[in-house]
Amino acid sequence: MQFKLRAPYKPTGDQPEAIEKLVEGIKKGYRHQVLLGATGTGKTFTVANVIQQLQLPTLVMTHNKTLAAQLYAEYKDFFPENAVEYFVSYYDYYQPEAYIPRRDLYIEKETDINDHSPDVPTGRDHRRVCFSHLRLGRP
Amino acid sequence: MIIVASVSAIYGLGDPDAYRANVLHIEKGAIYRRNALLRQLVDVQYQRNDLEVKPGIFRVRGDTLEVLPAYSEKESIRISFFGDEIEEIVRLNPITGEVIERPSQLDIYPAKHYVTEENRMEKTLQDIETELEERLKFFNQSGRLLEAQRLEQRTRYDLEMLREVGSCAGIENYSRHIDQRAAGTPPWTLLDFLPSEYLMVLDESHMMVPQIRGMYNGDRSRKEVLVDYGFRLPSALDNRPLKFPEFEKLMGITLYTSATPGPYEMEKSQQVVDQVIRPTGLLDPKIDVRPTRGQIDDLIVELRKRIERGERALVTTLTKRMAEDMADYLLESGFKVHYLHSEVETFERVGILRDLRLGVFDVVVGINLLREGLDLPEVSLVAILDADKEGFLRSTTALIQTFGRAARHINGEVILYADRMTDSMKRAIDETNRRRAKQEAYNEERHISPVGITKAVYDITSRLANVAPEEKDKPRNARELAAKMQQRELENLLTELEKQMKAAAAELEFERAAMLRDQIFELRAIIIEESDMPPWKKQKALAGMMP
Repeated sequence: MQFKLRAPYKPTGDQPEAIEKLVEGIKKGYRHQVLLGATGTGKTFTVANVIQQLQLPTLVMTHNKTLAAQLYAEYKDFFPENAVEYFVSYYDYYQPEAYIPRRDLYIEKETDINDHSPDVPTGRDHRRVCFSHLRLGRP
Repeated sequence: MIIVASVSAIYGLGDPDAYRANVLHIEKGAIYRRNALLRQLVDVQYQRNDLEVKPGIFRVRGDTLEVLPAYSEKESIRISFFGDEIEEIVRLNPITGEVIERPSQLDIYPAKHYVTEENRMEKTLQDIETELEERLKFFNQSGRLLEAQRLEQRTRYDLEMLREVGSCAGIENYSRHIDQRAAGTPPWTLLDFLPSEYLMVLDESHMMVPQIRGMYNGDRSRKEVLVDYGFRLPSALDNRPLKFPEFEKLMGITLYTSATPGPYEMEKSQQVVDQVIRPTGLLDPKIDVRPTRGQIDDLIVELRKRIERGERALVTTLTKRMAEDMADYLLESGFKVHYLHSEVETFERVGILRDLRLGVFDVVVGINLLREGLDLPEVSLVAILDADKEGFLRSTTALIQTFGRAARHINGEVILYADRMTDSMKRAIDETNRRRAKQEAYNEERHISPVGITKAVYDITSRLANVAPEEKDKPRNARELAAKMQQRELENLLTELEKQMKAAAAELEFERAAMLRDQIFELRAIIIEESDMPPWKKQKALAGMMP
């Protein structure tokens, strides 16, 4: 089973060149490459095309959970036939356990498990499903 | 497979996830490598046996895989494949063949989970016990009796819970013993489970890389205090995110994507690929630098121009005080303006931004306009005050990102109020002009005229706006209205308190945060009590919210 990119449009602007350069770079053995993309130039679509051409399992890391949900929805749309998983844990929502010696104050761990994101189906342990699919070799 | 993850990917899996990860989750219609599935069944202690029928075995016949779960004699699971695709999942009675259910997804639990887990738990408990003894000796010898007592009480209680229930609050702090890892070794993370050759995409790398780098130290300093004062055993320090060098070792073939890549990735990368042309033909905004003298009057003139055209504006100041004053002043001058607090939580911010799009407000004043959700197609002007004051929010990176907030509109324009040109400003302006020139040349060559985005499919605010409540549950009469009002007020209050709690916690005012937390619990209880849930649901909700 291959990655199958489905999109109603083709790469435009300098996307085709960016895709080609990145793919070529990886073929040359480059381990680190920067895609310097201005806002609104379709970086996600460029990356999706790179995934499509390389057929490599991919981990996308992002710095906050709102963006994670947004990217998850976008990739699911681009690759409707492939496994797209969401891996965000309670570490992203919680107030960790702490102690303030100066005031002799102990704060217990507090977890806020409410995820307001409309992009991510609820009622599902995403981390577990993600692991299981990794083990089962879902392409 | 594509995994979208937050920074949680570099955290230890902590709790007995090691076991939970062994659960095989299968879905109808999904594609699996069949051999991987069979191998996994063996890994979780199922035996392949095509002759005998007993729990804990599986067999393969043609395109059908049959699993007899170890934990149930009353059912067998039949999985039909079409190639590598799961065509059907059927739960049936193994003797009569009667169909129980045709689920769309199913979990298969390990065959010998209990045995192995119990043995391991025994070893884990012993190890915790040993460490506790050592630590108590240390505290007692140094005369720190309070710490000794505190530690003993908590750890003994946790040991009891682990023994009886198999889990305890904060179990992740014992993960070194549970995983049977050596002291100081990195925890198991998601990255350890990825194939050896994979593509890693660090989205918004100028934020992502520093975040990954900072995780370990923040975690360490907090935990060291807990260990020092006897709240935790020293092994709790091994329940932690990866150190940056550990992360680097696990990185795949990496793509850093950003409009403003940071120094780390610029140095590491073997190629920087430029992508500045927008599919819409939209250009980077025009940049104008103006003196601070008379800036308010100038700003008001500029704002009026935009509002007359039905466009919106963002104004960014450097301090909270100035943002508030500015918002007040604009309000008095008759603008529909809102002040975006830095501590405003995502959901509330979405509301404000939705209102900006809808025209309830024309101007939003804030300090940090780099946070998510601010890509609004209606915004044609971004005004930056104190642009020449050096600092995080006026760095080259922050400025370029802030300029980008006006890059979704055909008339996108940025005004910087400044009396001198800082290096950061110069670099940011030069880069933006370079991009704009390239974009213009491209458009000219192909006779493209930019198209404003009227409704971007993946505009986060518009999607979140769909969740906006109100309209749907309009009250039918006055009594309902009164009840609704009250409840909504309670909920507003709750949101406000939660916001304050998080802000207090972020400022390390834990005492205040704890007080607010208690109020929140009280309030939540009232809301649940007063809601129109059925009694059983109420009880469940109340039980679920206990701290």
